[in-house]
Amino acid sequence: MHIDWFVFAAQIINFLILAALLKYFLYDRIVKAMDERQARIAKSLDDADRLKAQAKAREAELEEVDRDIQRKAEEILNQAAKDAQAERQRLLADVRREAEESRQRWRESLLREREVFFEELRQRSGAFIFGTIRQIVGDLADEELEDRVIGVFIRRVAALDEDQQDMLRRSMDSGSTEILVRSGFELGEDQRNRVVKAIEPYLSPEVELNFEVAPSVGSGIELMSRGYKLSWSMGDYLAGLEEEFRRALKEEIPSGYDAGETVQ
Amino acid sequence: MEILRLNQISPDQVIFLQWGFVKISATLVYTWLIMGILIALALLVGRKATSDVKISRWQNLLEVVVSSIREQIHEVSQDNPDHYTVFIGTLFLFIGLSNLLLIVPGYVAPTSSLTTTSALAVTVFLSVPIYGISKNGLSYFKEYFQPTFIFFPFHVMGEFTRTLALAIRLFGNIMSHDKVIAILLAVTPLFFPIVMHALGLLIGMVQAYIFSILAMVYIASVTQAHHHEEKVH
Repeated sequence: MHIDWFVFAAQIINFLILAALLKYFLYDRIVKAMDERQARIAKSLDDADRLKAQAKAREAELEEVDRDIQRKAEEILNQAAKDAQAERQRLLADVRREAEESRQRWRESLLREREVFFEELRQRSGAFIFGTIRQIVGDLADEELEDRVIGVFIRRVAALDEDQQDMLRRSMDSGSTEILVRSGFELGEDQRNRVVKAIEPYLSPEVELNFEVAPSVGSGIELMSRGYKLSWSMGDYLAGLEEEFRRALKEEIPSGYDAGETVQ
Repeated sequence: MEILRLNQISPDQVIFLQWGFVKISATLVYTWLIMGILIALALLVGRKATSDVKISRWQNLLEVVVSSIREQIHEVSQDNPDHYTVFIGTLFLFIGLSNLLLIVPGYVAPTSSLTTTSALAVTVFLSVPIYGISKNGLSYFKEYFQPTFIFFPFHVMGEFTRTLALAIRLFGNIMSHDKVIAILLAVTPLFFPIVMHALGLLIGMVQAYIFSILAMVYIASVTQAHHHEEKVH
């Protein structure tokens, strides 16, 4: 067992050469390749993690968007339903209002027609009744009736109360020079004297008393001075009666009468 | 073909060529063979080394080997393996391949030569102070006087003896196995030598591992010790 010193030195050199060559051709390249691969894999994993995180974030974002869309869709549907309901109510209200308006118009038209009918009826019946009464009164008129008319007039003058007498005197003293006595028939001398006698206490001497026949007065007599009129006439009665008749006819239609009730 | 006769202990004794001092012995020839195989492998694989995910089988094999070496270095040194990979890795690959090829008939392992193992042990012996100084500067020498200067001769003695132990351990194992196989072939030529060859492969790899790990431990002992000291202070 010996050591060959040449081989010994040669082996050390061989080892150093081998180490140098392996370092250059093997370790450096293999280690570099492994490091690069490791870095690449690490980068890939990082990328994957990043992408995963991005995907998760995106997923969350899209879920949020989806929820938003669903919520909005629901809101829109609800709104549409509300709008449709409101539109329905509005259309129903319009239809009801139009129906009510046309019913109202129909009712008013009915009322107007009834008014017109009653008016015409009133006028015709009034004209007929009073035409008939006037005819009767005209047919009955004679001297005796005229005397009674004058008698009634004289009684009325005599029955004037204090205030009316004052008014009559004042109207006659107010400078009027003419007093007109109108009658529906021609007064005879005697009848004129009775009238003059009755109103004499209120007359001034300078006042002129005129008599006039006026068919419009009817079976009656009236005294007119400035601002004062005293009369008695069947026409007045008839006019009052006619007026009363008209009022009575109107009252025949109750004030609270609602044509709608009849419609219904 | 019998290159190393049974009565020849070392392949150094098998000399192919000689020009005076220069002797081309079987040790050198087989060393060159191993170097050639390793360098050819490195060239073939290293040239096409790629960082792609898909790699060749040979690159995969070498990556597994290199990364395992680096892991072992890291475990022992607790340091960046880049500084030690070339030295420790080359030791392991050279000794490992040298021992693995024992199954090839006609092959003589250079590691069965005390000259080779001594040369490798001397490189380890020299690398320890080189790494120590490169790592810690001249304060590396303080280690020899720890805990007191009286220990200096023991430290020096320890350096030499452990280097000697490295050389003898590897040489003894491989040489003796070589001889055992040769003797067994003569005694029981069937079956039993195969089992012993398989055992030889295991022993060869274990020895390669022990040699390189011990080298790393020796180097780490001088770099790590100083680290610990710095932490304590």
